Amino acid sequence: MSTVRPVVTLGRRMPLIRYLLFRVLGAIPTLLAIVTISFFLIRFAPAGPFDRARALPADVVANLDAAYGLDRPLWQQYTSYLRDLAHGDFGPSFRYKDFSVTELIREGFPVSATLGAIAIAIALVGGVGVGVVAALNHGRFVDHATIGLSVVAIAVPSFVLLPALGLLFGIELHWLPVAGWDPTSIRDYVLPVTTLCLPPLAYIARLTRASMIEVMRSAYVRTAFAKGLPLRTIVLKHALRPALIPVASYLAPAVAMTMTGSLVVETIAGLPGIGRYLVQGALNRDYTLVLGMVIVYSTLLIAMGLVVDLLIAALDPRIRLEA
Amino acid sequence: MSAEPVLVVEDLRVEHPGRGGAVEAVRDVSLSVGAGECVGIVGESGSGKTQLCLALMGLLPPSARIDGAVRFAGAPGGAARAVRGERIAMVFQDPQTALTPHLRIGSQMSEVLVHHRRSSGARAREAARAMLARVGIPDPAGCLRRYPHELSGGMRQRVLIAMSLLCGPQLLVADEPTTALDVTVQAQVLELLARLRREQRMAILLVSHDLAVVAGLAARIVVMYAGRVVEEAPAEALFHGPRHPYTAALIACAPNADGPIPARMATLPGQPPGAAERFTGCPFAARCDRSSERCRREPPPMTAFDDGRRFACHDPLPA
Ligand code: SF4
Repeated sequence: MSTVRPVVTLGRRMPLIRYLLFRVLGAIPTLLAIVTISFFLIRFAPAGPFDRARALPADVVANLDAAYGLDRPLWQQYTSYLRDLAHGDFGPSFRYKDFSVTELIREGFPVSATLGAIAIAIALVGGVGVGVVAALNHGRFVDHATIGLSVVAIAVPSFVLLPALGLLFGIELHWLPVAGWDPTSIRDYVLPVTTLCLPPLAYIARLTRASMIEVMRSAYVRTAFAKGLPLRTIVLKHALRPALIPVASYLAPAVAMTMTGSLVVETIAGLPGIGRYLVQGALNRDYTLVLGMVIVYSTLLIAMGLVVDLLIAALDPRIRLEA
Repeated sequence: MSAEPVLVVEDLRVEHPGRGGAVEAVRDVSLSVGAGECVGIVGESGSGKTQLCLALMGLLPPSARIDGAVRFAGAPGGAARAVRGERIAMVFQDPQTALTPHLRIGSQMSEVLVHHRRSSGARAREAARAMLARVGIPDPAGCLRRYPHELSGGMRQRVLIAMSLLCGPQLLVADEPTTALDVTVQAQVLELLARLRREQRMAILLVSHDLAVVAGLAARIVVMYAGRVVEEAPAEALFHGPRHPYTAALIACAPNADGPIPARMATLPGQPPGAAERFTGCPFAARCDRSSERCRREPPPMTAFDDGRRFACHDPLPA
């Protein structure tokens, strides 16, 4: 927070634009720092991209190193990487021959992002709904059931859930395909999206429930009851908005996480997303691929952070945007 | 006392079931408020005043056990709950938190009329503006567009009072309406309540820990201690000749409105009992300088007199 000045609340045009400008410009040094740290961290990890169980002949490795520029000093590699990056070029993949990282991400990201966005949207709507119902039935059966089920939904790992769902709905009931990907077929989305959305849905339900219980005890909700307003109005108009603030804060990491894909879900369901690239890239020392993924993830996280701050300011007029 | 009461409370009892047994917040409270009358309820915090108000309004949590009768003349079947916000309204202690932070004043006020009177939004806003003007808000139209955090505490309490009066209630329950305000604003709000009572011909149940607050407005005062009524009398009579030792102690502790403020205010020795405490005898026995063996053994019965006075004490102060 370099220049702390009270910027007027959302809804007034000029300060909002200036605020956005501050935030977008402020993101550039952050991203640069992340790229720099990641670049050197992965280089200091032992072994390189061309080390195999059976060692390659020394001259082959030397040729490969020369071809990918690994024979140059590290700082030169770093500056040339940054130069390429400035032109939107993430460099060649070390492992996927004939593919640039830009191509890999451009092809895979839409798949992961689509699935992730749908999953988060469902998680948000469903989680808030479940959380509100549980809060209004605080201490009763519905509430206890919600808590119990949410623990299960958060705890069951996706490598158990997805195969189990596939077994039931695919192999037993023949309702849905177990794996495979045709972007135009909604049926292909169902199982992976279900698997992706359950944990955030459960988490959002718990967040909503907890904050809703608190808000329903607040003095202003008591005033609303004293005014004789119907429960519907009290919940939707007076209680929901403040209760959503913790959910909004959770949204930034959740969206960045879900939209960059899941290694497990995409591998099991055979989806051509980018979920596997980060882990695979790190294991293979595919330097450029890892960096590309880090950049995509951090950009998404930073952008969502901004969106969430705007969202919270819209939820609570007392909050002022400060750049 | 007015002939026909708007509110009659009989043997009201409020219990909150808890782990260590039920907490008795209100015990066998009976009182009545006549049409257009102002009745004061006085007691230290924890004496059950707020619980009593919430019970009247039907605002206690569903887990609370409520016995006894609350009859509100303005409601079919006498249940205040059905007409709350309309014929019976309430103003709360802390204006800082009693308004919804993300809604403009106009929205919070007009929804009352839209709901109860089926008014159009525009007419409701106009009525809200007029009511804000009546409670002394300098720029009522501008105030409608404000968020609560943009107003001072005194303004917020005025807004809350205006909001409660929109439907012309027969009874206003005011729970510590001035406690969170500074002294000059306190006086203004009390004056406002007095004026509105005359103009609107509504009854007020004015609740405070502070005798001085209640003194100016209430014709009759009910003193509560440990969830019970210990004494009730016309305001004049109560001040000039309290019969219950607790009332006498309260009066002795109240700073004299006219005189200089004493350097050290006299306070009642000891702590008021917690709501979870149970008594075999008089609940005030531990702090009473007149208490005897009998006081600790048997609860003092309520004795009523023709002049509208009643108290529960084995050894009352002489009349
Ligand atoms: S009953 Fe006894 S202890 Fe209670 S107030 Fe009267 S004199 Fe005091």
